[in-house]
Amino acid sequence: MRYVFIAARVLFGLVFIWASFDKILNPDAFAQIVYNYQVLPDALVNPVAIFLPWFEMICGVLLVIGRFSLGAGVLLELLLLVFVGLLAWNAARGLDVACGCFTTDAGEGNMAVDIVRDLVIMAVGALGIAGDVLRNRH
Amino acid sequence: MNKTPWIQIILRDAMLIVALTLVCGALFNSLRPAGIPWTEDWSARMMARFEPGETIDTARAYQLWRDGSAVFVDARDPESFAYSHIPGAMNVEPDGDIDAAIERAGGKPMVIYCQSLACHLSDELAAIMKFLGHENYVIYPGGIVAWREAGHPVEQGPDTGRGGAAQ
Repeated sequence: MRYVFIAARVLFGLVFIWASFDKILNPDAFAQIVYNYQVLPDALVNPVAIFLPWFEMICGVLLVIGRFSLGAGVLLELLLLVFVGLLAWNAARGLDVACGCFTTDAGEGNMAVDIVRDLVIMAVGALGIAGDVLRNRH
Repeated sequence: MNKTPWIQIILRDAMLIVALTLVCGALFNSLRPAGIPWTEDWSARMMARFEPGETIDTARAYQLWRDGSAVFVDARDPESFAYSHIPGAMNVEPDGDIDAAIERAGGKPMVIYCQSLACHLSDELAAIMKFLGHENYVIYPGGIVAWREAGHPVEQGPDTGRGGAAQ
């Protein structure tokens, strides 16, 4: 069971390292995406585009190497919670937001898939965090 | 053996992570050539893609709509259109039947719009119209979002083919 916890923690970290790579390399393209979501005031778009990918990268690395991984895991779970919240909020606003601005596919189906994907990642992360908590208790 | 409360461990980790994030992000963005401005006027940047005189603001759009002197063209997908659109608008996606749309406009100028400044569907539709030699249009970049924020009326339901010059 111990290895399952470790595997979950490492996998959780790898997901975020992988997710942050492209954003770190292409900050302008990522800033455009952040702007497109239209949830932040203009002035905050670039700061988020500059720092959020590094936040993901650092948390991911710490999870993989298993140092400071409890905090990293909890922070990433909170981040995912925000993402899911935004997706669900957009879904609740209905097709109003699925304007085809970001993708040519039908919006709602994708949004549901995104939410499920994030929930699966959250579950893997929770397993990793559980491992950390158990390890600390012994 | 470790009796430190969880919350304390998490806060300690979080502070370290936030500090590392600030240092790495700031260093990387200032040192690399592809770094971006720390903050930016995105509305101005998004407007810069349009030609001067190619766009109208909400006040002008409302005036044209009220006077019935232009035909409104919604470039979004049919679902978004059905959810809410400018009353009387027709729904023409960039890959839709543009010749038919031009015919429906009956020679009146077209006002092309989509969701908001972040949306590129109006640009795409306008570029195709231009390519087809039809330049009797303007773009309303504020789109349905700016229209609604100004408190102007919207309409629901699909494009029944009645929108256009003959409404």
